[in-house]
Amino acid sequence: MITLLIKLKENIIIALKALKEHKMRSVLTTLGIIIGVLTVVSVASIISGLNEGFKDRLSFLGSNTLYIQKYPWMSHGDWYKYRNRPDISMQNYKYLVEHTDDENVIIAPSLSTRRELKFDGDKLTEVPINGVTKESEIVSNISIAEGRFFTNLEIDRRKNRIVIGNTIKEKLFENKEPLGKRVKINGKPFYVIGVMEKKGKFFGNDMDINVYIPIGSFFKNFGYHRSISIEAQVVEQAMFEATKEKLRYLMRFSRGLKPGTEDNFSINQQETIQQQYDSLTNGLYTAAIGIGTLALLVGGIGIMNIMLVSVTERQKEIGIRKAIGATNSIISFQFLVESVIICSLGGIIALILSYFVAIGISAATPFPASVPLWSVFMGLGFSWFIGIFFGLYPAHQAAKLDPIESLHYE
Amino acid sequence: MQVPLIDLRNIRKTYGEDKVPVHALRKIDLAIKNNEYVSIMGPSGSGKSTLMNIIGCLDTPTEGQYFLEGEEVHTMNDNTLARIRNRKIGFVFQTFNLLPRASALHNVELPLIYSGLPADERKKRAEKALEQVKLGHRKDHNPNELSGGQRQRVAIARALVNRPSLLLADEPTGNLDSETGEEIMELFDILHKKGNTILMVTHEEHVANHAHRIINILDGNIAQDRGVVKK
Ligand SMILES: Nc1ncnc2c1ncn2[C@@H]1O[C@H](COP(=O)(O)OP(=O)(O)O)[C@@H](O)[C@H]1O
Ligand SMILES: [Mg+2]
Repeated sequence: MITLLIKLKENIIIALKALKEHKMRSVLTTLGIIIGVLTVVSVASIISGLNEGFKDRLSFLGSNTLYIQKYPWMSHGDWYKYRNRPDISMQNYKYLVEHTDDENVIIAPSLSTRRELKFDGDKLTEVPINGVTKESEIVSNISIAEGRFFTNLEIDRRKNRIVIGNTIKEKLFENKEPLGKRVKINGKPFYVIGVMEKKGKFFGNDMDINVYIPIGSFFKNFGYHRSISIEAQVVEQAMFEATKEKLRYLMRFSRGLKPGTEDNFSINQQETIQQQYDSLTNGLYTAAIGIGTLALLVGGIGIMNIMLVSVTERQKEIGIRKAIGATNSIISFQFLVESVIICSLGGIIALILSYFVAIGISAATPFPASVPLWSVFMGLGFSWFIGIFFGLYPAHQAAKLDPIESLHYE
Repeated sequence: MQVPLIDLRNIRKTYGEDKVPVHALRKIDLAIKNNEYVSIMGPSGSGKSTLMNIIGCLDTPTEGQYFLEGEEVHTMNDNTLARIRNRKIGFVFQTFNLLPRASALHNVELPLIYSGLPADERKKRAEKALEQVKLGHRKDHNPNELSGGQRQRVAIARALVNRPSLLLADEPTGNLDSETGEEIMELFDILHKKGNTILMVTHEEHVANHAHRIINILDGNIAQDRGVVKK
């Protein structure tokens, strides 16, 4: 065991010397390995970045929330069919509320538009305006930092009151006290009653730019003819599927759909996106592994080729080593170590490059790409495997050389 | 009766048997005892190197038996042969056969690496072997920075570092001027006095006369085997 370690150390030194003598050749040889490992690790880091952003984004939607909407989130063409569906109406919403128990499911209507927001001569354009009810505070997970949320009375009376996101406070009010101030949307005045807690950015979108107004006020100011979205938060996770079926039944009933006909609405949920997303990332992984494997294969053949050249070039050396007592297995070990070291070199270069790729992606896109630890091990593992697999044949060729013929080789 | 160190029986070596066969060794019977000092002489192409390579376990005979310390070499596997080359035999070549890109010290260390000695002990022994051949001050030099005589002394240090009982030298002075050659021979004389068995090939009568026994080879046969009368 100890002698094996001694020999391993010697072999690593020998291999490094050989590499130093052929720097350019070694780097060129590792190109395939570099490309292969770089592809796999980069894609892994992109996806892990996507996952990160996606998880945050999805948690926003709430895993136990159902979204009753005119359009499905994931569809396969047929947009025309969905367009012809009736709008989701406030009547639908009220019907659902009346026929369910709020101990089981909390239901809120939701709709939004983008408008200009003015205060004291300053303005912000394209601000997402959301119409909400009391229940939205729970369903849409709204937390108030200053002031308060709407009262039931304010909702019922369709008051022009507004709760603003933190960014609005910063940009429009320059962080001065916004409570009680009057902002204008479409020339209509709204009184600020609350500021939301900061939520941060998700997928590059500022979540704190939103503002909320009572849904009735929304209709009054921006018109009645629009499809709303009904958000239903299931209280008991265990009741999720049952609740979904119940809501579907109620929707169908309220719309007078005959048995056997298709739904003319969609019930969306986080899982739908998750599934679509998973199939996308799986596709990416498969492609990366395909390209990576191909590059590694090409790289491996390159390694094998260069190792065979190296065996021939160093035949005399092999003869000398055998003459003074190197066994066949030591000789083959020596070349195997060299092959693994060349490949590790490629793997390490690839990992360094993929680190920069991740930094580049993080800087250029909203996705927080990083090099996950497991992909570092995977990259090194791949390069070692290639080094061993494609080094075996040259190592065997070196080992079986005849000592006396090799000694006479010039 | 003591078992001879080297015992060759009816050794034949033929190259290129299927085309034009070259009979390098025809029928060699030879026994060499421990601590003998033997010179092998003969014209170029007579089969001296072939014989040395067979004795050194680097090559195998086409026919015949070779017993080393009573054990038949033919029956040994590659690993055992490597071990014998490593521990029992020190081989000195006419062309030195040093690793060109390694220091003198590393060249001498090499056999010890293959016997699995730890680094510090290895270094100590290799340095001692280099001092023995009066090259302690040149241990960090690569072969191309050394003269022919110095290279051959590095090769001798390498052959001796693992304390083999048998020293084989194929024209060790062939590439050296006579003065340097004489230095090498003095070294051999000392080694012989210390108990080594020495077998060397040479063309030169005065080199051969350092030995106690001279074997003449002619055309693959032993033509003459005589003792040297020392004055
Ligand atoms: N590998 C080989 N293949 C074919 N013939 C060889 C080989 N090695 C040596 N010979 C031949 O065998 C004969 C003996 O060679 P060698 O032992 O080198 O002679 P010496 O060392 O006495 O000069 C020569 O005729 C030589 O040409
Ligand atoms: Mg010769």
